[in-house]
Amino acid sequence: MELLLLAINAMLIGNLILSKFLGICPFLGVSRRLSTALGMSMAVLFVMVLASTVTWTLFYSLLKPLHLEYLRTILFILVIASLVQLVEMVMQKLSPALYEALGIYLPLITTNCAILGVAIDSIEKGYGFLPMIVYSFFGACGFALALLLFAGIRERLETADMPQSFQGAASSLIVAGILSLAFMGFSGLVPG
Amino acid sequence: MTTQANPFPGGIHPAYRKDLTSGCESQPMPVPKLLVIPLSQHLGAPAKVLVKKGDAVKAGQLIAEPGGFISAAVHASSSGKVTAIGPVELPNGQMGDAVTIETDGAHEWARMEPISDPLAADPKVLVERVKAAGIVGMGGATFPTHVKLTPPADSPVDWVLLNGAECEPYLTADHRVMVERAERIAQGVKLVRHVMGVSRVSVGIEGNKPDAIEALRRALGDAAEVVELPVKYPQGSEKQLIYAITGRRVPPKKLPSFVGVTVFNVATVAAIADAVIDGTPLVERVVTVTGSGVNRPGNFRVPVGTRVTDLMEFAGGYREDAAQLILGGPMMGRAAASDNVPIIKGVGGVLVLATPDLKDLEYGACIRCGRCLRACPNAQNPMLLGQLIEKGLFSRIDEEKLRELVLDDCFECGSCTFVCPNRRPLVQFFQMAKGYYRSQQKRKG
Amino acid sequence: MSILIPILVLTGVGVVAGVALAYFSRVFYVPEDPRVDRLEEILPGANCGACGFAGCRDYAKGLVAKNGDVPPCPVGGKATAEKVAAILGVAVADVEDQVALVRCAGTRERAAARGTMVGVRDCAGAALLGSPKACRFGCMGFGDCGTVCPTKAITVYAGGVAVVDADLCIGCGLCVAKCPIDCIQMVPKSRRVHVLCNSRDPALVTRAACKVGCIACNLCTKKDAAFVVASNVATFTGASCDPEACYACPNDVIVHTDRYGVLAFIESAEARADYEAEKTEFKEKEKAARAAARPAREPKNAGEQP
Repeated sequence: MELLLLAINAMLIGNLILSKFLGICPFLGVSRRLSTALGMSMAVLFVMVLASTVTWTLFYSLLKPLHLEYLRTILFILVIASLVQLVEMVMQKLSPALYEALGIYLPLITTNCAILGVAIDSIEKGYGFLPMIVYSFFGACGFALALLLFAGIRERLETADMPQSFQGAASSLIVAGILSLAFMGFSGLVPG
Repeated sequence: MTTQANPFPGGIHPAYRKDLTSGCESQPMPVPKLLVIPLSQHLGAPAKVLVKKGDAVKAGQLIAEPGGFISAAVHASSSGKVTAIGPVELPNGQMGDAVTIETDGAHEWARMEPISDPLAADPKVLVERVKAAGIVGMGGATFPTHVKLTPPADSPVDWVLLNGAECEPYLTADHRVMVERAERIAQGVKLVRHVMGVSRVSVGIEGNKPDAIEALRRALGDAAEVVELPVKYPQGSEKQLIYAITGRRVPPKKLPSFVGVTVFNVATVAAIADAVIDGTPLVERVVTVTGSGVNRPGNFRVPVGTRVTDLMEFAGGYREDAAQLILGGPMMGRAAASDNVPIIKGVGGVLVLATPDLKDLEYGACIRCGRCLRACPNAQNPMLLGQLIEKGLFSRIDEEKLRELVLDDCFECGSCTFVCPNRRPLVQFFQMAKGYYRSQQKRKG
Repeated sequence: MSILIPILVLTGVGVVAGVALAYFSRVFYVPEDPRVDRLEEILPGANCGACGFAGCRDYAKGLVAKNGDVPPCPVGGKATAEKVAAILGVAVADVEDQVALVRCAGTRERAAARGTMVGVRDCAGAALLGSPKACRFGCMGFGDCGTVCPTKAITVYAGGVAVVDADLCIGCGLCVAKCPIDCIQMVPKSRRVHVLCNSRDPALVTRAACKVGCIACNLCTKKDAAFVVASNVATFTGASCDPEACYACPNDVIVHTDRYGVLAFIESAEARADYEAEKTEFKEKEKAARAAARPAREPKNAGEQP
């Protein structure tokens, strides 16, 4: 039950993009097409869960025993960067089309505050192993949800008639803000 | 053996306005001084001209032979002298070669030999006669009839349909042919049955033509059944007609023979009988001249090659406020920039609209109301396709497979354009997209 | 001493990550010719697709795959062709810098109308029904060319005719492909003289359709051999000519860009008035010169009056 509440929290109430405003870069950059949005979501899901697991393990097995908690930021960044490099290599080999489509945004997952945010958040909130997995998995699902919703809206916006000054980034940001408002509606969902 | 008609999805109910001419008996038009007979009045390769400038010709004389397998012969509609062979403006606005004949008023005929006892003749002989007579689909598609009469061996035909629906508003040409030439049509039906070896022939007629239904029922007897169709546009479209009468669905990009059916227009069948029984080739057709911009609307038996100018003169000329000239019906016809174009085998209507009938045609953005989706007789999505074409987003069209799903099956009936509250010219968008893909194909191939 | 442990930990983790990455980069190695990257760098980066490939990187891959046997990059022109040849080690293709030219000056005042277009305001749409102008070859002015231009070099002006700004044009040729009546041509950037007409109709038809149409009278060909008449229309095939040769044209179809920009020549009333004045002045001078030359037929006096 706790885990279910945690999942809902991670995915809807505390949505990484629309409530916590983390990971805006890929959100705006890769959401023009539903197909690329889906690809990016899968990549982020994989990296987020893996990165959270590895960093959590490293923290509790290496840093905490040695009283080096203050090193967590720099160490987490190191680990996440390496993991994303690995994902890039795998993707280039196995799915070159997706690799080309995501382009610059793949290495951007490295500096993506959402990944680091989830990793540090798990430590801050003192989650155990399983809660950490649930949190990172459903956090990535929330990321995917926001991305896919936004991509669908943007595809529709592409065919709409808009004044010149609204076209492109302007309308996207306005829509993102409205989506964010909409997700605020979830805030009363889980008591406490 | 009366069949109940199957309703098709979508469709519209425009104001038909057929009462302007539906009671008018077809008047024969006197042969005009000048006849402009194009070499391409049919689908397929243009005919190859056989006469040259200065030659004397007779009515019914062959002046151009078929230019390929899918092609048709062209005949002189009256006697006279060939004064020019060169490019002229065609009803669709493009240029094409035509034979110009100055008529001598004598209207001397050079018919073919009538075929005696045709129902005992070899079907091949009858098909040859249809080919020699230059008969093409007179419903507007102008597909060479002799090719339709001989479907390929891998798609045999067991049911022939006659299209007497005439669902276009304003037009009454087929209506008059059915009322006035019911006997001829019946003779033609018997010939088609003999040639194609089918047991079942049905005639589809919309319910707004009770006199035509009555006349054909009497003339046909047991030779074919007459099915009364609900009055809905585009009931006369081939695939919709087939579904309505036979319940068979023709898959996209396939011909009706794929489901064992062939469709002929009623006027085409009458022309087949004319060619076999009298030896007369296709040199004349009934044309409806109608609309708020004509002085004396009516139905006329017009020699092929008559210029619209001459036809309009015979119909009393234009009214003061005449503003737009349309060749064909208001749904699928084409607006003409000049009336110096000839009436060809596939033109069944001349519609002149006056200024009060022409509403403001400025269009706006798509409001995504979905009316066009409900109106499409193919149950497809004109809304999204129209938006994407307007913005030139052809990559999205490929992604959403809209070309296969919508564009390839679209026969440009105009139902979507008719219902759009913002008057978006959807059919024009689709025509542009089809042109774009054709030019892409040409560039690759 | 206490600083040693964090240093060791960080270094240790770093080394482990580095070794793992090195190992995996070997396992997941994707071979790619390094020339692709070098070529991509020297290409213009317009990603216009004029070469037929999906962007500059794709073109670089194509170049390497076919060892240079692909169409040259029209945007990069000669400079890029040379750099490409240097990297690939092949011979330089002969490429000239080109720009687009709309061969029509038939604005609404000058060109007769055939009808009013209702519905789609689009060149492709208009081409389906035949042009709204009496001249079937003249620019219809709905601006399809402008929508595909990557540098916004081509615009339809008030008179209803599209004009290319040669300074902005990168020579990709997308507008040429887009124009449904082939009214746009690629011309060498160095060319200074243009015949602004595309009409292949015979003289009588052209004259009725447009005041500034080329009637293939051949007066220009007599002035300069670089003018060539084919299919009832003249084309200038050289680099430049004497501006005064342009005055030979009775319908003012030829523009010399040293004297007038194409846009001014088509749209500006002042420019046209100036041109008329110059032409009249020139014609007067010619007439005077001819009149002065005639008395030479009289028997010469003693003396050397030429």
